[in-house]
Amino acid sequence: MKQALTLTVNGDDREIFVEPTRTLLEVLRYDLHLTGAKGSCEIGACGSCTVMIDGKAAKSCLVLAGQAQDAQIVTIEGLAKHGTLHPLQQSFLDNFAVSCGYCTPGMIMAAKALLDENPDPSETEVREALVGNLCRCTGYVTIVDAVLAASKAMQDSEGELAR
Amino acid sequence: MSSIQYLRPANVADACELLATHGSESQVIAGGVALIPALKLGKNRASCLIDISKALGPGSITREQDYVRVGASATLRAIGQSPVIQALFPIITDMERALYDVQTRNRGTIGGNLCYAGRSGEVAPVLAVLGAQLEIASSRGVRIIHVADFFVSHRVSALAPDELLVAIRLPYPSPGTSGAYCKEARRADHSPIANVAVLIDYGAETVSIERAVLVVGGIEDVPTRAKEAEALLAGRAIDAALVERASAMVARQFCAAPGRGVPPAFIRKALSLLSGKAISLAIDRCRAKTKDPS
Repeated sequence: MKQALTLTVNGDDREIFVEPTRTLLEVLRYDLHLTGAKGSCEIGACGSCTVMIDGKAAKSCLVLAGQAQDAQIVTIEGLAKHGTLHPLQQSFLDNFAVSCGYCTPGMIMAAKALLDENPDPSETEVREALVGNLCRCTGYVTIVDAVLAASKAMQDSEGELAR
Repeated sequence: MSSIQYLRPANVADACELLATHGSESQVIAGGVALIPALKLGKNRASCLIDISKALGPGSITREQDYVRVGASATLRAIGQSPVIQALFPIITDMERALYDVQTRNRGTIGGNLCYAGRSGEVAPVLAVLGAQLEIASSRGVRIIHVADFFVSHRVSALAPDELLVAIRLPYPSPGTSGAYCKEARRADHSPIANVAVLIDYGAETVSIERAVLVVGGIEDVPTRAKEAEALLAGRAIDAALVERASAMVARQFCAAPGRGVPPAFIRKALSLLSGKAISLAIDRCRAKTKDPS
């Protein structure tokens, strides 16, 4: 049965009238028209639907809309500010970490959750944070490079701001 | 999944009342990381989901007088990152790090993993060696059971349809005790083909092992103790040959179990290696705790 739910997505409260057993991924894509998170395996194996829920990376195909109430949800659409890409997005472009692009939003959201918790991760920590995200194009090397480069860029710019 | 009713009780009493009313056609949903794929694939046909996230809250980890109390809804990641758990139960952090991927650990709960009661459960063997007690609520009251009595068979637990697991009690380890957990899976983020949890108790001295508890998961329908190996280790001074003999004993005890597509020789080899690794790691941790120079 449909219910009125309020989801907080990218800082905005969004009222929707949906079946609470639909997945967060479906609601984001089809009701809120935020198509950045991608559907693929639908059983939590590929990570292309990764978003952040209360600051933690989560696979939105494994979360029900009902479960997402009262939570802060951030999708890839919430990263760029005033037309400027987030350093992770810019770094994925600069390091050729995007091939077909299907896994990219999920990769970036998983990486964002990592850098929020651990701004200076080792290569191993980056790889561990991305275990749940599959890419069938790049072979992961450029993706790991992009996350490490973004981490450095973000720390450098913080250093400059502090000066 | 659109025809499934979704209920989100505000507290444990309401959750228990709903469970009593809806009984076996309902299904408790915690993190949902195992249940949602099962619903999508038609493997679970529940007509009503009872979301207990609000009723149980985020699942806090608290030090009580005789035990550490972990709320059943604590996520696996929160448990792995908890300073209390890290300090007292390195075996639990082993288990958490070996579990699937970050996203799954961020949503999956300790109670959910336990109540799923699959033979490849990761939490079960670890809680079994730790001698955990489970707090189970229903509209009839709260009962406490030992984790060893919780598993009935593959996917069947001792929970009645109207009962809800609310917390796990982990007894404080004695000073000379530590544990370790190892698993073997097809891929790092898959369920284990086999897993081994070990607890070693050196007692007051570090010369010989006073007590060992070794539980194997993934092979039998429920987590099973390797009692022969436990008996071999108890009372003996540790050396490499003893660890090897105990590991071989574990492999012998479980080699006859049905392999479910995995060759018996592989299971034997895996169990021997996992046991050796887990026993050695647990011993190292005991020695580090008691500052034994050997």
